[in-house]
Amino acid sequence: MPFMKGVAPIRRTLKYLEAGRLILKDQIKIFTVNYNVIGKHHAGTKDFVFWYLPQIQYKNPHVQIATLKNLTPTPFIRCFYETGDQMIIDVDSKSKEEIYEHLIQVVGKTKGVLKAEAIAKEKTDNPANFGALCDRHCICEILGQVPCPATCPVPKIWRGKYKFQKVED
Amino acid sequence: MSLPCVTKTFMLLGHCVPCLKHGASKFKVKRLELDNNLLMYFPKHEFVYAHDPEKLCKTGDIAIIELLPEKLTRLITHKVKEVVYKFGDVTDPLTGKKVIVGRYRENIDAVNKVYGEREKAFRYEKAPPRGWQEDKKDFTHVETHIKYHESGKDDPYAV
Repeated sequence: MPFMKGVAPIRRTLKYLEAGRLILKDQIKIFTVNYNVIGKHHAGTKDFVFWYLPQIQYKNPHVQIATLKNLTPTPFIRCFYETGDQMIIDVDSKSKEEIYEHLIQVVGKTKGVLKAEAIAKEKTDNPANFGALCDRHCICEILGQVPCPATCPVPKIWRGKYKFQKVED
Repeated sequence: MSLPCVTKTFMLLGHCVPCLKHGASKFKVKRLELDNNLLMYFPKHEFVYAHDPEKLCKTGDIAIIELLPEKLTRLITHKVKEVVYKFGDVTDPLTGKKVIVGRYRENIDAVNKVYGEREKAFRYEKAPPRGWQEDKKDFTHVETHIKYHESGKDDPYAV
């Protein structure tokens, strides 16, 4: 870890940033954390901001993340949606892990959604792919491959129907 | 990593700063920018002008501003959607009660009653809305500067 100076420099490693698990839903544009600098019931939120905020911002580069300090007696997290709705999450006396897990459950994208997005991204990324969301729908459209059996039938010797069942034509 | 342009971002959380334009408020938007070499996030302040015909926002308020479908002028690109935290008059969204930093106003009042209230003490319910001392004692609505010499000219905003 080069230039690893300061408190907990592991937060500044690429591996740590990439390991972020909270990917906010697309509709969330602003994510604010309100907490006080002093106060035992604010300690969990303070730790949450210290450890997890860089990860959250790394995984959500288009979300404005703001920390508002010393405004209210109890800590809370407020998410502002594109539609104008707001989600307020009370994090009084919660530990940083509890807050993180709760956020993943409530405002994070589910594993299913993330998997689908990853697959869609992969399919559009590689031009050599063929299939559902790609340019070429079937392998028969690719140069050098066997033409589509719909247009020119495949030789009978290659077909399992004739090879294994010894069907006479 | 470069941040997307502020003037094109749909929704922002801004801190109101003094602005002399009519029908508009200036907002300071603080966003975190990643330094690629240190891999650390640093705050970056940008200014956005937002359309505010009723002047809902006063200096110090924190508000949500939304992108206008079409720019009003070359500089006014957003409009004030909602004032989230009013300066000096913060409402806790969880309980709906008025707060002052780490205490509820009603708690402070209860303690004061036990100790004995002063006659000249500031009373939030009876105080007029913010702005009645503007240009007399409150100069937060304009950008003031320090006067280093007497030029003879009358400059009310030179502190």
